[in-house]
Amino acid sequence: VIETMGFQSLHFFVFMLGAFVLNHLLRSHLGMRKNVLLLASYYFYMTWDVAFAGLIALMTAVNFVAGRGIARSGTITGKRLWLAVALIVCLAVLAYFKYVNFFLDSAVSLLRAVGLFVDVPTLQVVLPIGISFFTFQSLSYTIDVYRGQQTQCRSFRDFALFVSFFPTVLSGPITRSRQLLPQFEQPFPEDGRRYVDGLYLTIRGFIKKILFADILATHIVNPAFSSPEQLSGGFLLLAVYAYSFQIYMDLSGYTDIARGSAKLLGFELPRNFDYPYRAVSVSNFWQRWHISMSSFFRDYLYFGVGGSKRGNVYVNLLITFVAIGLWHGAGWNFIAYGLVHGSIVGFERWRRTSRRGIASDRTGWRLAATVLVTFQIVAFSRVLFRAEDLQSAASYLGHLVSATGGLFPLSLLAATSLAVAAVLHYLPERWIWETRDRLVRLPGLVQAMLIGSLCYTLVVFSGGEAPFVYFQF
Amino acid sequence: MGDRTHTGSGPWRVLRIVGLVAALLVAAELVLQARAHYRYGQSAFNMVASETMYVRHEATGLRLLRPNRVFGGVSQVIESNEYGLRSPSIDLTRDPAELRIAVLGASTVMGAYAKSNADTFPALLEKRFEEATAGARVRVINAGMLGFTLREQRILLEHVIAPLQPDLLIIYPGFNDFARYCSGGTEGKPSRPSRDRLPTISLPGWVLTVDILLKNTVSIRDAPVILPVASEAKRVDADTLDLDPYRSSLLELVQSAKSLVGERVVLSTNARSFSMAQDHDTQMRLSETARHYNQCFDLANLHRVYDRHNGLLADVALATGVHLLDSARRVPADPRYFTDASHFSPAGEKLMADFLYGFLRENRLIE
Repeated sequence: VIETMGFQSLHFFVFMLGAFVLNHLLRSHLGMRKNVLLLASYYFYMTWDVAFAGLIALMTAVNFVAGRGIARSGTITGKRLWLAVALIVCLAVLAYFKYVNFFLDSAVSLLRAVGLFVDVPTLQVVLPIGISFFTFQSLSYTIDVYRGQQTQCRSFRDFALFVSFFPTVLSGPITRSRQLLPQFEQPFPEDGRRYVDGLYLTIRGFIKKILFADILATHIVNPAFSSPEQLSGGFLLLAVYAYSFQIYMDLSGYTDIARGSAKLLGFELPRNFDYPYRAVSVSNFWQRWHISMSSFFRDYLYFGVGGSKRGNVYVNLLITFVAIGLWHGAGWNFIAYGLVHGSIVGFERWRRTSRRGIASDRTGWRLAATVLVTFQIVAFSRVLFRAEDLQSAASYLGHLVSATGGLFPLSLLAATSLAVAAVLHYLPERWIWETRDRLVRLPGLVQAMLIGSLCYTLVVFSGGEAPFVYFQF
Repeated sequence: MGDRTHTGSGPWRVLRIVGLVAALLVAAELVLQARAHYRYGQSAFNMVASETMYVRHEATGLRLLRPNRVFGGVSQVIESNEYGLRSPSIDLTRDPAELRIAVLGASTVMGAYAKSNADTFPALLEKRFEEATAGARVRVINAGMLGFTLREQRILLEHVIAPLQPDLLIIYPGFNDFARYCSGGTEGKPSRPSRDRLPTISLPGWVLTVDILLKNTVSIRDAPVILPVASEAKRVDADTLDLDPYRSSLLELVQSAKSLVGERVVLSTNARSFSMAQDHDTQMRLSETARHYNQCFDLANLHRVYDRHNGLLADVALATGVHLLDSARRVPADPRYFTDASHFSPAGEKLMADFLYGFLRENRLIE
């Protein structure tokens, strides 16, 4: 039973087909087209959660009004006041839904540590799906208007569509208002190439999700993190690498489907990944990984707290990366994840400024070694990300280094999936383009047969459900 | 996996390809439906002809067989009686010399894989009595229905079986109540905050493609040995299940049965083809269908679910003073007796009929 309109569901296929046809039929009626897309977006979200569609509407209203207030305010104090209102409302809502129990538990632990015992019940808070994404997307508009990087949006409908746009509302990519709002004003693009690209991207997203992310999760990662004590060190090590590819395939798969769906409707969303495991440093990794999220933190938090211009740049980096960690989840393991990355990025910056080596100048085996070392850092730090808490992460790493004997239950399917994922990641990009171009040049019937076979394969391997990892954020 | 704009064509090309894919998938589904019709006499074509195999029973809302029909193919023939049961015709007025036994349950009783009505264990039981007792006539009513939970079995008993005045009731409960543990039902699971959602479309139940693909590829999706299954989010620990709802439904059913036939009630545990005594691969193979329908349990937890429910059946039999037939112990976990995880093979149907016959005799339930 599929209870939600997941991308893998029949309902999404029917919904997307309807949206595609209507959107195309209304291509000459800009206003009507936007009305339909807005209704479709709210409908889409309400198949996940009816009540929290109201939260999206609240975020929309607050930021729209704040943007207008900032634009109309004649004084810097007035602008700041409107910005503060938007920040306080949005971040308070986010903090309540996402972090209230974490803060309460941490406060109770702290009080216990100093000998004060209080009993605070855990609140039954339902996390609104996509809250981190639509909060940041709407807030980015207000900050951009405040900074003068975005003109005020005069249409509430357009702004509501920007915040709730269904391809991005659940898991991004976090799209800036200046990237998407102008597209709503443009006439329907008659460039036919984008449809084939959209279809290709969507299919690629499903392949990434089901043939890589889900298989790696089921066969390697979940078992390893559930029962590390039963497994050999070798398998636990493999699971560390498998998790890196699982989460990459999962989120980039989602992004591909989101971008593909948007393209089919005539809109361009930003790229979110740029071969992150080809990074030559951890700093470089963050320029390639979940780009819409990392650039959000760079532009709105890192620069906001001073960047490299004001205050201590290393402290600013730590603040930014701890916030990135916390954005992913309310837990000390996420804070530790942010601290590790913030420290390493700070160290790399110190090395660069000390002129002790610039990784990007390297070539050949030295480049490969740098990429390999960076990947190790990223992969191992993700144990903090994947584990339930700090203790579980420490326990996992403890088993990894101390395990003697234990099982190595690697199936051929999982080994193949991991190997192919790794090979695809390091293949020359040109080869992938050429393969795609050859595929889309095939006769329609052959393409349909290939896609039909792929549908069966995806059904076999998906088992029908498995939500995207980033839905929990 | 980067991306680059392709020089291609427009929306109609996309629609054409999507349309072709849909046509191919529909064609494959049609082939499967035709195959199902040929083999079992039931398919989506029955719906087109308004001759579906199952219909809603007006008085109870239960999903029973369309009365007085023969649904047949080369692999299986199902004949329904006037009450929508896979059983011979039964008169409301009964011969005083006749003894009536009703076997209540789900698909295992109905004979999910039995080639004909005569091959189900209730029919074989009746045949045993015919062979053994000259003169006294024993009628065995097959009151098993595909997909029935305990609640539905009780409703069937009270509204359809009771008027037939059975002398003895045998309850073989089946496994359909387990489904709620994995399908999002809240009974028996710890409560969580819920979400209100707009309804969505899902594939209709009669579509065969996905079901056949998934049923026959369970082993491909299996997580490694020893280890917890698939997604951790879906995993359910059988020891934490709250069985009180199951116990309540069972008690209601047994009390209802007792009010009809007194102490002449036999409650059976559920047999299965896989056991801990088998090697792991054999268990995995034999439990495929059970794991398909109960995807939130890994093998170890699946054993616990079955064992805990069988333990509960024994407890309820003891507490209510009805007879316990421990089929779970008496039908060996051997693939010779099962077609899948829990449905009997022809040998299993016969074995079950023999056990029942012996049990009824030993316990003097049939003189």
